[in-house]
Amino acid sequence: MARLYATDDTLDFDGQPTRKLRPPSRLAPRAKAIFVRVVSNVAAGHFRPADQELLERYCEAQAVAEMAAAKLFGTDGLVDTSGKLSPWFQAHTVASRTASSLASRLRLTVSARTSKAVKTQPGPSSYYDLMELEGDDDDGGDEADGDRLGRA
Amino acid sequence: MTTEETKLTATDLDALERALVAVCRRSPEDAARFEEMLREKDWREVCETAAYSMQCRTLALKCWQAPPMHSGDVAYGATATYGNKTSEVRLRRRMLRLGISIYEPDPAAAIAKAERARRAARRNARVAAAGPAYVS
Repeated sequence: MARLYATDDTLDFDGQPTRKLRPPSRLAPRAKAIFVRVVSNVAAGHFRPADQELLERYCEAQAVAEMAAAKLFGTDGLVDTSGKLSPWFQAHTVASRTASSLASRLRLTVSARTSKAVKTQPGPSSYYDLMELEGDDDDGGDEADGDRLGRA
Repeated sequence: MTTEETKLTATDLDALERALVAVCRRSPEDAARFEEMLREKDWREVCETAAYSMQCRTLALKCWQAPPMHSGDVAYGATATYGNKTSEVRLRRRMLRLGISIYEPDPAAAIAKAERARRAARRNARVAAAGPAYVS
């Protein structure tokens, strides 16, 4: 059967009209727009209510980075007439760094989405795998010498 | 269908016995399981099961990889079927050349030990061939 959706996750029905996080009214318009776009583009179970504040900070940082980028590439420019670096550059750098860090924590990055993301503990390699990795093409002739594979 | 049983040598018998002991020492559950198997099945069958279990564990084999006791003598490349992959056959041949039983519970350790012994013997032979060394 063809897969209709990118995700198969389902949540128990709890009577709420939507189970996705909602943007709080205190958010600035651009940050709110980012909030809605992020929440609507991830699986329903991706965020929990406890993630709300962290997500808000992420959206604000993204909004600030966008604002700074607009200034840098628009009216202000990267360097002013006296050759001084624009203060928006610093704002852009800090906001981008914050957004990048929060994106990882909120599992919004490419590496976080990868199903085969690197595990902290690699699985054990079998003796045959090690033989192949070490290019061990000797089957024990008289010339066999040296401690092969070093497993014992 | 039945397959012809491999004739067991003294080395094989020793390896099978050690495999059974090793598997029973692994955990009380394994000991109980193999003790029960011994009551119901043939000694050789139980020991072969123990050797299989030990070899899979000590060589950290994947489920599609054959332990030396199940490998064949002819290699058909890296994509061959169970027991006839180059690396599987190579390990079995190496064991046989070193005089290690194919039922050895820890083939890697046994190979290392045999190769160490072989190197030492070769070194001793070279020293003996060079003649006695006199210190004045």
